[in-house]
Amino acid sequence: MARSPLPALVLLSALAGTVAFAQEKPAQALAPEPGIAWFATWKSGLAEAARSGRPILLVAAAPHCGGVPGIW
Amino acid sequence: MDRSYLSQPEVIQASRRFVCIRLATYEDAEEGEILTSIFVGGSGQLENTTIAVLSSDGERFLARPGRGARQMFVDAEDMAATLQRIADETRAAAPAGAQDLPKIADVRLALDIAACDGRPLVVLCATDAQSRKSLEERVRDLAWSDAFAGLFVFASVSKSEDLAAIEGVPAQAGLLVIEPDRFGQKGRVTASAPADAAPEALALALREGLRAHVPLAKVHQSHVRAGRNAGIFWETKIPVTDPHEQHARSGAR
Repeated sequence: MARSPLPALVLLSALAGTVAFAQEKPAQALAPEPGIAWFATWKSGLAEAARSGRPILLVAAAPHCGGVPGIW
Repeated sequence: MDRSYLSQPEVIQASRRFVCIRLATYEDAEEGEILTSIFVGGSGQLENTTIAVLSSDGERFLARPGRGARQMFVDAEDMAATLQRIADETRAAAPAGAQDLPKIADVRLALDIAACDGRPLVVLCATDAQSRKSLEERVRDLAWSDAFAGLFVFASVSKSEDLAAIEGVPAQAGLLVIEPDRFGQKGRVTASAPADAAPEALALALREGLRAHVPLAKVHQSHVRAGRNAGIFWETKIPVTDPHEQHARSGAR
């Protein structure tokens, strides 16, 4: 017997809604995740590298996307 | 930025043996020229992202530069192993602090970057240069300590007007821990300490700010759509030259 796809569609729709909601809500507040400690200017980083003799990991990124700030 | 590699524990661990510099593309003309001398993509122009591993004088490439970590490394494990190998070869020791506070040039940009990173912003405020220098030195040692390294974005100001976008600034502002909004356009003070506070009191304020911090889960497409719907637009200091970003921005206005 052919089964109606409706229940599956309803379930998918509900899941999609849940995911969409989950994406917009604040993430759970836990211990902060570790991160790379960045120098924010070339001059200050280069001076520290010269002082310490450590090599440089350089990354550049635009702190906006499509003109909208708040996201890399 | 390729957060998938740069946020992995093994890469973070390996990064501690390097001086890590992250520049905001299109926010400084001189840095734009330096980035262009390091890497340009197919367009021949400065693009949104760049990654390079350089010698301590900034003169030699220790790995091939590229647009992103994914272009340079197989995966995060490969990136971490490569960084560790380079650090071994250059006999780079683990850092023992640094001479400068890793601060961003202005609060507007710092607030945006804090929102991008999902980190609290720490702003140091003191009207006279000597107090500001003294405060920066006390916070610098905390900023590079194991307890706080990589957990905050920093800026420093001398005028209260620079804090116009910040709510809840106390009268005796010194160190402010600020929670940025989703788009990094406004912020709210969640913890503070006076400018003459001892290191222990400053550390306490930092811990309080971390406890109050609520990271926001962001989805790229919906974030951009929400920003456009709200009429939010980021003006860069120098012209955007990445063809993809130019195209994306043309649809925003």
